[in-house]
Amino acid sequence: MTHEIEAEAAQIERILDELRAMVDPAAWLRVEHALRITTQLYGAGLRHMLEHAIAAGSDRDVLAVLADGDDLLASLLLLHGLHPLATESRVRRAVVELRAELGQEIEIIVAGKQRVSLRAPDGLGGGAMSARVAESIIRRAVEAAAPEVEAIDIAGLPPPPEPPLVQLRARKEAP
Amino acid sequence: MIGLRALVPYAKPAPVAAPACELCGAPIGEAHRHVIELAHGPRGVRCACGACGILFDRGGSRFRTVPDRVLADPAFALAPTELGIPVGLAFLVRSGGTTLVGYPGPAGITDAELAEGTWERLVAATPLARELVDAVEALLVYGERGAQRLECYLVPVTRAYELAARLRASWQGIAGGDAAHAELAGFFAGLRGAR
Repeated sequence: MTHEIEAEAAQIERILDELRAMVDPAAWLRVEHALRITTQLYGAGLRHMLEHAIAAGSDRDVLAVLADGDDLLASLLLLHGLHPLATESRVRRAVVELRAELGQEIEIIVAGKQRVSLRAPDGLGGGAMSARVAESIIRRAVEAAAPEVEAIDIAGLPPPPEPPLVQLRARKEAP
Repeated sequence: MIGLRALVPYAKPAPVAAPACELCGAPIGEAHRHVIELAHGPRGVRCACGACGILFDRGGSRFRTVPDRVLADPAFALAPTELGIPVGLAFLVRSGGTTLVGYPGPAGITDAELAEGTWERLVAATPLARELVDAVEALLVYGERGAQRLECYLVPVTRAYELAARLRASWQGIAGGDAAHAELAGFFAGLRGAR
C-alpha cells in the first residue's frame, strides 16, 4: 500500500512537471486552477466526513489512531491539514525514524507549525553520504510528516563549500 | 509517512498574486499600460509594465501598446441618423482597412459590420478618423437620449471595453434603466475631464 501511494505521488509530480513544460503559461494557470478546486473539494469532503464521524459518536482517540495507521488516509488528511495528531508529535516521530535511518543524533529544539528547528550535535553525513544529502533526507521527512510547517532549519551543518573554479581554454589569437 | 508533495500547493487557497506585467512578469501598480496581441483582438489585451509599453509603442510586431491619449472633436456635427448607427452609443475600431463597430449593451458588446460608405462619411466629418490607430484605439460616438447631434471621441480601446463592462454590469430592462444611464453619463463626464 505504502509503495503504491509513493508511486502515485511520484507520478502526479512527474506528469505535472511535464505538463508545465508543455503548455503556455496561461494554460498552466488554468490547469493549476482546476487542480486547486478539485483538491480542495475532496479536502472539504474529508473534513465533513470526520465531523460526521465525531457527531455520530466516534471516539476521537480511536479515530486518530485508526486514521494515523492508514497510510493512504493519513497522507490525505495531512495534505488537507486534517491529521488528528498534532504537528509536534508527528515531527517527533519523524525524527525518531531519522535517527535510526541516518545513525546520527538529531535534537529537536523547536517543533511548531511556524518553524521546526533541529540540531545535529555530531554533524551530518559521513562515509558515502554527504552532509547535503543527509540534510535533504531530513528536510523531506519533516515535510512529509508535517507539510504545514513553514520553515525548517538545521543547525550544526558545515557552511556550503566554495564553488571550485574551472580552468577554461584560453581563446586562440586569430592568425 | 508519505507526503503527497505534488498536491501540497493546491490543497491551500491560492496565494494572492501581486499584479505583474503579463509580458515580462515585472511588478506593476494599479495604474499601468496595456498591450494588445493583435491576432487575438479584444481577448488579446494584456496588462503591461512601463518598459514593455515603450517596447511595443511603435507597432510592427505581434503586440501593440494601447496609447493613453483621449481626443475630442468639438466641431463634430453628425446626427445619429446620418451615421446609420441605430443606438446612441457605438465604438469603431479599424483593423487592416476594415471597420468593426461595437454596440455596448446588456450582453456585453454586439459586433457588427459598418454600413457601406459610413467610414468615408466619418473621415470627411472629423479629423479624429484619420488619427485613429488600428486595433488599439477606438472612435466613440455618443448621443444622449433625444440628442440632435452625436459627440465623437478618440479613446484607448481599453476605455471602450471598460465602458462596455460597466454598462453590462448596471444594465436593467430593455433600455438599460437609470443605473446604466448614470454610468454612461459618469463615463463621459470623466472623459471630458481627462482630455
